[in-house]
Amino acid sequence: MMASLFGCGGEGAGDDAPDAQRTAEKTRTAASTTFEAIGQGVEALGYTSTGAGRWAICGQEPSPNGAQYVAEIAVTQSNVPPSKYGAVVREQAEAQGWSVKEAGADTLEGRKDGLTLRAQYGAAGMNLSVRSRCLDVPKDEIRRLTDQPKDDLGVAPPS
Amino acid sequence: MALVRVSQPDPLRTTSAAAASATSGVRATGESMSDAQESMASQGTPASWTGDASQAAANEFTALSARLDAASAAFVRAVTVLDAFDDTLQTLSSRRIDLVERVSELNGRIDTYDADVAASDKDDATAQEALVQRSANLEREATALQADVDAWNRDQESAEQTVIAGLQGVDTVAEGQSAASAPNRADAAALADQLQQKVDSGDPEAVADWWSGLSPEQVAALVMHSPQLVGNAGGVPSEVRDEANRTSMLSDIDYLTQRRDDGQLTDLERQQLMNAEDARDTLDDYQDRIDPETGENQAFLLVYRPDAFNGDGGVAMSLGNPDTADDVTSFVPGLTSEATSLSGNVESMDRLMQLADGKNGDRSVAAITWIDYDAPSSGEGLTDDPWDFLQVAGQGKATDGGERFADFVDGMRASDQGPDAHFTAIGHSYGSTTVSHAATDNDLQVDDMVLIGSPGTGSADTATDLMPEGHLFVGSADYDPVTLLGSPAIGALGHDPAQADFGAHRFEVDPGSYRVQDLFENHSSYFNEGSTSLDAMADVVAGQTPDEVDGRTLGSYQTLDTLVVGSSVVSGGEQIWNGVEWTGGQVADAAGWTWDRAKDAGSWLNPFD
Repeated sequence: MMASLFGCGGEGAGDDAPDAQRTAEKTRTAASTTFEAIGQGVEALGYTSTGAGRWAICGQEPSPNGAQYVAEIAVTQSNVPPSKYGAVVREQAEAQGWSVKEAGADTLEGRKDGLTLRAQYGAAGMNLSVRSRCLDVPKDEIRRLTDQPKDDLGVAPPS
Repeated sequence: MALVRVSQPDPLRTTSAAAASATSGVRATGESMSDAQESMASQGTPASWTGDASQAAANEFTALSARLDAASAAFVRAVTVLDAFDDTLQTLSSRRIDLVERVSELNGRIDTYDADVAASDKDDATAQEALVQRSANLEREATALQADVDAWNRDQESAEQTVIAGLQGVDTVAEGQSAASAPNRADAAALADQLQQKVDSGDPEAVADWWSGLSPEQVAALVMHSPQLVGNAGGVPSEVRDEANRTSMLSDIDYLTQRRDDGQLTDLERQQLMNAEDARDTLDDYQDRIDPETGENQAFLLVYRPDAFNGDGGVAMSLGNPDTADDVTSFVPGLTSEATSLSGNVESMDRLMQLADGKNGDRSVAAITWIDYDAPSSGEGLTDDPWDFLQVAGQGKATDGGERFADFVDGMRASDQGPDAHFTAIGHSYGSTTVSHAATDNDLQVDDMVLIGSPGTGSADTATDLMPEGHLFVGSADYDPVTLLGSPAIGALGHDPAQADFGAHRFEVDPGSYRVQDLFENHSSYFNEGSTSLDAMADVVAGQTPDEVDGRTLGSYQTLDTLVVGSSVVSGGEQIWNGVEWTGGQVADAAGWTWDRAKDAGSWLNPFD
């Protein structure tokens, strides 16, 4: 009883393992298509990897209050000048259905279907991430999710 | 005649981050080689073994030691070559970015020219003459720029040939022996002794000065010979500390995994292996994150001591390079923090960093998670060391941790490059007591301080005992029981910094849930995404001042007893008592002495006794 009473969000934990699976899948799909579109837009010549997705805690150790799925990739070089990154990212993200706004110098944030896109760019490249909302799951489920190995997003390498 | 567009430079075939990663692997192998050689050279045959066989064995050991020494020398050369290649790649990358910008701009003007030609009046002689002149100018610019692009392409080719030749120069036994006997070979052991003396003197500025005089080969030799010393030495550049600590980490994982597979792991080694793997996994979580201005990986392993504190381990990791960032923050978590808590705390720093980055214009941010003290541990899934737990009640660990934290910050200050960074220390829970001790006892060199969820500020009676006026910021949720341990009277861990008469700048924090079973979660909500506390802390990190709210005064807030009883009444039923008992236990974990008070406060509610 104590575990359910004092798990993440108490007894009212609103999400379960199937919710987590659906959220991960939805985030991965949105991330891989968006990353690829932005990569094409900036004529990417290289990525750090083919993209990776993982579960991260929400809240704070030692008592996290949920978990969210995070997908990331970085563009390491491209044939579009960095001074044009902002415009290209906005155009490509909006074409993918993201509602985009500035979130500081050289940073754009987009929102779509409960997901958050973040693009931070500079002279040497660009970080891209898509995050899900925080799922309200018990602590043992948070541990299980965050212990899972990272997923390969399979973003196609530049041709 | 149509103008020819300038071609873009070739893609950079190796990124700096990829080269650095490859170098880490070579360095870790070299370190293992160096260890084996030193072990072989120092041990020889046991004194109790005499006779011809012993002599023959000793001769073999000597010969093998010499061969290993040659291999070590070769590895140092290889790492030096790879480090130089990495530097060249960074230069090439920077030049390429500049060329892409110039090519794009010039080709754009050629596009405009072509459009103007197409739209021009062919009978307008003046206009046609102007176009001819523009064409000549553009062609001249294009020719010059194409030459720059071609030169860049050749330079990339040349850099690759150089690294290949450098590595081929040490890929035979004879070449390794030659490197080992070279008169200018760096004496890694002597350098390590010198560095150790500088570290022991407690002056990281002296370490930084000494370090800046080392040659690239000396650096490579020293990192390979003594990665633990280099990686944890304040004043050594963060980039090098990261390289050294990754070397130690990879080497530890190799060695300890082998021992595990052989069934030889001790309990301490098992914890070391967990700590090493956790550090590696956390670094891996950020492998797809670069510094957008440099292209380098954004994660830096600044402290790596997997065997510290009876196996709890010591670790610090930064997102962003703290030596070059304009705004640097270092977070000290509290109760139950140990090396394996790194990942979740780095997530908190990631959220804080991203928010601060949006507030400080063009300034860059680095956010360090520092867990290099023996934080009190207890409760679920944590150490079962009873002594560890018993000490929770006291300030001893905060006092010791405060000294270590102040030393760490001194080291960061010494390796800082360019203008001094704006440095903010953040302490949560028992970590806030630790940060307080760093200030009162050890002259902590920070510009701003944030204390959140604080059970007390150690020996500080007022805000100005910790920081100059206006530079101490406090976040305390109304329903966070841990923040009530130091009020209204002084608690075991010191004053409540949220009290109005303490004199800190208190910022707004979401009050938290008023259910007894959620009270401890209120203590762990300061870094929640979208929370007012996270936003306020990002303000401070970015050098801004968050909105101030009134400090606590008697009657304006619920004391601990009132909170526990009141939230229990609101929750209702048998589970309430369980909740009171559980929450009381958690709070007791937090500062050691509250359990009885919390239990007393709730005992009258328990109708099931």
